[in-house]
Amino acid sequence: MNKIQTIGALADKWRAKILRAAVLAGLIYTGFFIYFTASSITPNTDNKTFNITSLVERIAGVKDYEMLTSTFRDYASEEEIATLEEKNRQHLQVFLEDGWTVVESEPHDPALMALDPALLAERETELRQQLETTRVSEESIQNAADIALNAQEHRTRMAAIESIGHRRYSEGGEYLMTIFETSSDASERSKALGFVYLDSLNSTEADWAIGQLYNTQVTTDLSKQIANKLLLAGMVENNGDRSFIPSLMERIPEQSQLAIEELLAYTRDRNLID
Amino acid sequence: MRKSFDFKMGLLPVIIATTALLSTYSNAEVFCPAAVGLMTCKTGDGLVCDDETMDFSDFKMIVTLAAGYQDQTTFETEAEYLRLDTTASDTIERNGVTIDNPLWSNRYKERLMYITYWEHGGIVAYPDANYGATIYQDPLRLDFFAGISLKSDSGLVDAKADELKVLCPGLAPVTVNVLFEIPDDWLVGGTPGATVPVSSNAQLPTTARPPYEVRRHYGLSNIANNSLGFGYIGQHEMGHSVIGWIDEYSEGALTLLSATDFDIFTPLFIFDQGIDVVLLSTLGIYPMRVSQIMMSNGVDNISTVPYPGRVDAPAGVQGSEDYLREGAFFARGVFQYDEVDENDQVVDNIMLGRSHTHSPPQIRVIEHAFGETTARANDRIVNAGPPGGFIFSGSADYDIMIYDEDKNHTFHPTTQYDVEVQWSQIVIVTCRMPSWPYWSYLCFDTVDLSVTKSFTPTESLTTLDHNVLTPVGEALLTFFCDITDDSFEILGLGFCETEADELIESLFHSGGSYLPYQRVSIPTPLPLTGYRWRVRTYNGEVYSGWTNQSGLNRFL
Repeated sequence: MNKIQTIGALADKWRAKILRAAVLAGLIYTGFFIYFTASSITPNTDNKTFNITSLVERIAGVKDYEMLTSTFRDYASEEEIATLEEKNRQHLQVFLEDGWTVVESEPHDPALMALDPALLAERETELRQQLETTRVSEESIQNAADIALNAQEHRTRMAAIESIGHRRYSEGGEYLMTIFETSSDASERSKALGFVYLDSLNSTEADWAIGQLYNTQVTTDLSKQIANKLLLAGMVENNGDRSFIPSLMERIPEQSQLAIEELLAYTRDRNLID
Repeated sequence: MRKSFDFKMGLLPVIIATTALLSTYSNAEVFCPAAVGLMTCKTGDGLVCDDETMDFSDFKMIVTLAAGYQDQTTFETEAEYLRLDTTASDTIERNGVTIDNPLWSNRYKERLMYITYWEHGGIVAYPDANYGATIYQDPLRLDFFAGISLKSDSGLVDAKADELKVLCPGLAPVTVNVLFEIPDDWLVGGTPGATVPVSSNAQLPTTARPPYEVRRHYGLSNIANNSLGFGYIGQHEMGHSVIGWIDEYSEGALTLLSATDFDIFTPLFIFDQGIDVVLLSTLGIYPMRVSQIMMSNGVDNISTVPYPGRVDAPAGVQGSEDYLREGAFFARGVFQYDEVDENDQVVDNIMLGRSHTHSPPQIRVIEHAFGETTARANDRIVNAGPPGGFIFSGSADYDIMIYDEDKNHTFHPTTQYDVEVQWSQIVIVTCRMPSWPYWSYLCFDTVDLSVTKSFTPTESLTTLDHNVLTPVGEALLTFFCDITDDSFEILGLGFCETEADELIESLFHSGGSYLPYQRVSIPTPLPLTGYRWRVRTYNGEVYSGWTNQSGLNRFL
């Protein structure tokens, strides 16, 4: 092997090494590049070329596929795109044929709709309007109860109680009873009590209500409200037959017995008419 | 024979003319020729009705019928007292200042037309009394007025109103009063002016029977025998029947009971809507509540919540006031405007006590009613049902229900609901890598797409079926019936002898009620798709703001 051949062999050898090193470096770089950038890939909202109108036009087939590039076509088939577009078009078409029109509107706010109590810190007013203008779902009833106890404003707390109270009659009972026991505001306690569903004197709710009559923290007005509520429940349960009254009287404190007797005896404010 | 015949025919116009001359009040010939001699008409400020100088469509017509009167002149004289007392320009003292009587029937008397119609009938409480006029013992009033309350048959009153409207084209009453003459032998101790006190009452515009257009009336005892006079009673009762207000005081019998306590009776009250409606309400899908039907239904002076204006009113549009004082009819669970003076004392008003004044919300209503201001927004709305979660619907449509306190408002009822439905759908958008923005590509994203549609409210009325409600009546009767048997009796009516259906009428003064709920069908085409919806109202003048979004997830 002459000197030139030796140099050529060395060059071949190093070329192969350099190439392998370059390929390896490229792979490493690519790996790092993908690793560090892929996680930050986000839809570039600035570059979203549609607005609602153009979106609808596109879905409706008026202006279609103009945005598609060969890059996308590399990994999304025409069929997949067409299926998606057709599904969207048909969905919207149901509304359009029924006389609905497309409008621009704010995107939905899942946290607000779920009554996330964390919103109390910054967005109590919005949370309150959510409570006042919608009915709480079964999944969000615990959140409503948290709001009823932790909101800053009385109006928000009242809205939360109202919202729980409008759940299916017996469903919110546990939460309402907790609010009654925990709240320090008389109007909130009265409102929660008003929504406790009581149609039988042999129910858990009735036992709880009677227990509250022995609670010294319960005001006279609230005790009367409880006593009267028990009386009404007994009337309903017994179809107006008053024979249950003596046994009810035995279960409640003397002061509450007087409240019931007072209601039965029926005293009125004579200053009011018609 | 012929001469005699001519004589009679010739005399008739003279008799008519004489009648007209003798009583300038009897001018029905310009208003209703067919009722000459039976009908009178004056404006609130005392002008005789004249079709040449007045546009009758500018007036709110108040028709008064006679019950128990045996003499036409007496009836018309006392009906005139009603007009005078409700339109008198008295001054009142308020906050130490003398001001004109601000009551609605006085303030707008030139826009009111008082019409009487005479028809002879039997004495009150006798079978031949006009319009079934009688009295009964109202359990809610046992210790006041001895529970004696006026009562007439709504159907007969409405039928008479319909008859008069046919007889007198142009007659369009906003209320029909039934004026009761209380017999002299009811006088207590034979002392004039010391009669058995009776309680007047009125129907609300929202509580009525179909299909009569005129569906409001109230009973009034005659002034001659009623020491209370019309000054307060007439304006108060017509506050119910014309304006649509509810009492702002609490009935003593309902002390410390919450309106919501009565919600347990809801299934019975909506029974005639169908078993499916009852079931869906009970299950909480489309929840209805009798407390809302009774107390927050087209009424503009009280509500079952202290902050009835639930959505924002658009800029420049007035919204509902806050009602921060608890207690109105029921002591709990109902709220009214909290007006106090500089000494923190509650300011009285015509629906609260016996003051001849109005609260600010009342003033707003009457100013709108008589065309001085625009309506407030119908902002008392709630996405009432379904309350979210998954629905197991196999159909492509699903009903939503709106609770609208102003759906049946007397003067600005909701005329349109705008419903917005929103869903998220996958779309194709352009994406790019922040680190290399020159390369863009298409990717998937979700976008919220919204559609809207307007709906016209549909009238829904629940008839209070006495058969169904009998258990309620019996329970309440027992509830309110005194343990003792010392209740006041008159004409053989004893408190505990009150029939259950009479008790129901005493609560509602009506046989039915228009419901404040509106169901709307929206498309839900795709299974396993979440939809969101919200609503707003339009009352012919202004839009309300939107409610927040409710979820509706179609599962199957």
